[in-house]
Amino acid sequence: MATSLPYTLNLSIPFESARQAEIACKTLSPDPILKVNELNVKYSHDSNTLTCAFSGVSDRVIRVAVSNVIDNIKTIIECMDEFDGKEDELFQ
Amino acid sequence: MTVDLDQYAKPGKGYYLALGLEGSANKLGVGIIKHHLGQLSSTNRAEVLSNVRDTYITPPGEGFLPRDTARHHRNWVVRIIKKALVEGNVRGTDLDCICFTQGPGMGAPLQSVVIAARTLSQLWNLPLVGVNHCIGHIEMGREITGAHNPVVLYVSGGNTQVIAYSDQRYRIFGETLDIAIGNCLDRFARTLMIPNEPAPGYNIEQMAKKGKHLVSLPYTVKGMDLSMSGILANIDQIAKDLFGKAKQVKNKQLIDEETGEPITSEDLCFSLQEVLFSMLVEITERALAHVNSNQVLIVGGVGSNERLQEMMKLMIQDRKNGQIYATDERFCIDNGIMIAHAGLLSYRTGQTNDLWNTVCTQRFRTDEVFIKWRDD
Amino acid sequence: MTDHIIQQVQVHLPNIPLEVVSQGAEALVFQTSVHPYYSKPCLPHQDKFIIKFRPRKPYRHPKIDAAITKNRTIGEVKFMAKLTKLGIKAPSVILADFPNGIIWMEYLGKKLPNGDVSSLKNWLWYYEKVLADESLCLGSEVQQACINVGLLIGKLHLNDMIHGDLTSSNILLEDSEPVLIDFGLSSYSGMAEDKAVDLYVLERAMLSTHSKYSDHYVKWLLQGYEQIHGSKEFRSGGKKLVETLRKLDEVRLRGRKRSMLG
Repeated sequence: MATSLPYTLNLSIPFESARQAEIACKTLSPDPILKVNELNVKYSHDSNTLTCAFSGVSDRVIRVAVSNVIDNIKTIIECMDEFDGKEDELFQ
Repeated sequence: MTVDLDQYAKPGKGYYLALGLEGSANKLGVGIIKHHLGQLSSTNRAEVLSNVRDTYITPPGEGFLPRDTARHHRNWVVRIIKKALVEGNVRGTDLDCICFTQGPGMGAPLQSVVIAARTLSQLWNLPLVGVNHCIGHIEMGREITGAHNPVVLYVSGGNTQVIAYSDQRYRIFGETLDIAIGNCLDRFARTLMIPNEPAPGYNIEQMAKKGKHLVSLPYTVKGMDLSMSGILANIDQIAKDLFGKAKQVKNKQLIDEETGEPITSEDLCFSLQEVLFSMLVEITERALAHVNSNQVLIVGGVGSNERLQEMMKLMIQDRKNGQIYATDERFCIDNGIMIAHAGLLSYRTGQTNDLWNTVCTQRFRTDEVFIKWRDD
Repeated sequence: MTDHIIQQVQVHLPNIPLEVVSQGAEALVFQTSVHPYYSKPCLPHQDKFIIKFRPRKPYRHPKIDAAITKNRTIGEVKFMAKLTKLGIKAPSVILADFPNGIIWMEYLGKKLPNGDVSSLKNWLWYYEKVLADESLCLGSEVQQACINVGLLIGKLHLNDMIHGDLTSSNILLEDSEPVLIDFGLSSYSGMAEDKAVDLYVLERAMLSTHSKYSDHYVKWLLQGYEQIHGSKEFRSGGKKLVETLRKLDEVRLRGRKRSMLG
């Protein structure tokens, strides 16, 4: 597997807390990669850092994948900013 | 015998609240619904606490592409969720579950919304419930109209199905063999460069009201099914011949045989609607006759078309004790509340999705869903 | 609400006694005691006839409506005449009025003990809902009836005739002998694809109307369908069968996999 996907990139994204990093990791993980022989993404979290490890057949494939993941992470972070710890709040 | 809908009720709480997120096409919708304990009935109705929607609109002549639609949903989803919570005057701790559209629909938009659902579910420690979009339409339609066991005509941008309930599944009696009705209308709107605001189908409907002359088009009912791509190709060609902008062709003129008046684009919209809706009403009537039913429920975006409702009414009047049920645009057009409602029914029968089971799917047939909350 | 439709048909058939047998989707079916031109017709039932009437559909544009009524009535009559010629069991035509959508035909079928017409649907529902006994629903009588229906449809297809609307409502049972009715959507084709779609429509109708035991019913139907293809009466039936069944698999998959996208 590793030899067929020579291009790699790691993203490390710090969150406010370990819990948030874990939630982000669990939110991203379920969606399957459609072309497994072209791309692989591994998500992991360690204390308050989320790591996304990309490996792919070309730079281009990785670029597209990174862009998608960052889009998703933006939604996740926006969600956390607005809602984390506010389940008791009435929004105005 | 009825299904016990309260075995998963929280002790000491007399009701349920569900948040529903919908984003399978170009509408992003979030709604909150309330069920009180006990069976839903005319005296124990579901309550809509909020129903917020934002539609991604493209310029005339352009359809909505998955990528751009997903970007729209991502831009708005958190704000719309917040707005729904504000409107419903609901706290996170009041909610019982978060429901989301799991399919069918466009992959990228579906995925952009489920990301928010998953995050919120973990932040607030609420279970997730995946909902089939079509089932959402059907259950919401039944709840709003009080139709008990109708034949359902489900007509939208992506779907055209005639459905009847039997043995804990909504079964498909007839459906399109190629493109969906809404898609057919949208694509013709693009041919005529009709605006997409507020909706292409709505604008076609308004133009059709001004049409008078019927242009002859194919009529393609195939048993319980129908086909629409041939009709679209046919009318597209007529439109191009009459109003096309290509330089090398001199536009033809088509004359109505009876009056000698020229055919207008309004006439084309009128003719397209007349033929397509006749076919829809016919296959609906076939299903009614086949299952010995006399109730029709129309759901889905195209269901808000007044001419379609009128034709269905005329059909049903000729049947013994016939009744027609339709909802207005708040519930016909894709919305979050229907996802909340159908999801809550699932939740009340113990069906929830763990995180790994929340992957969305573009293809998700109506008859795949086990309707645990009905046993009639 | 059907009174005004009866008035409509009475304009065309004055002084003919009419008793409503059923209201289908596109036609009203009446029973009458009168033959239009013979006092002793050469039919098993000499004092019972069927009149099928396609009423105007007020929801359709009059132009669309007139074209559909006429085309379907003509198509149905021609199809029935051909079936009778081929000896494939269907009601024989007595008289027809194309523009007004009227077909006078032979009476076929029986009444079930509960008073319903003996369509395959009502007959199976009688077993499923009235008798409600699984061993009877899956018994040899039902099995044989389904096989016979399969034989009949096979015969139709081997003559390159397509019913176009095969459901359990459009098959009548005379005891366990099936009869086809309702040919408004019929066509002629030798293509495996068209035959496969015909079968698929039936299969899906069985699933949606007789959900509980449809697996068995469909299996028996196909058993009869296969059986007739092996008969010496038809040349290269075996080859046609393989092609049609292969197409049927394709058509089934198409239904499952059809994209829900616009």
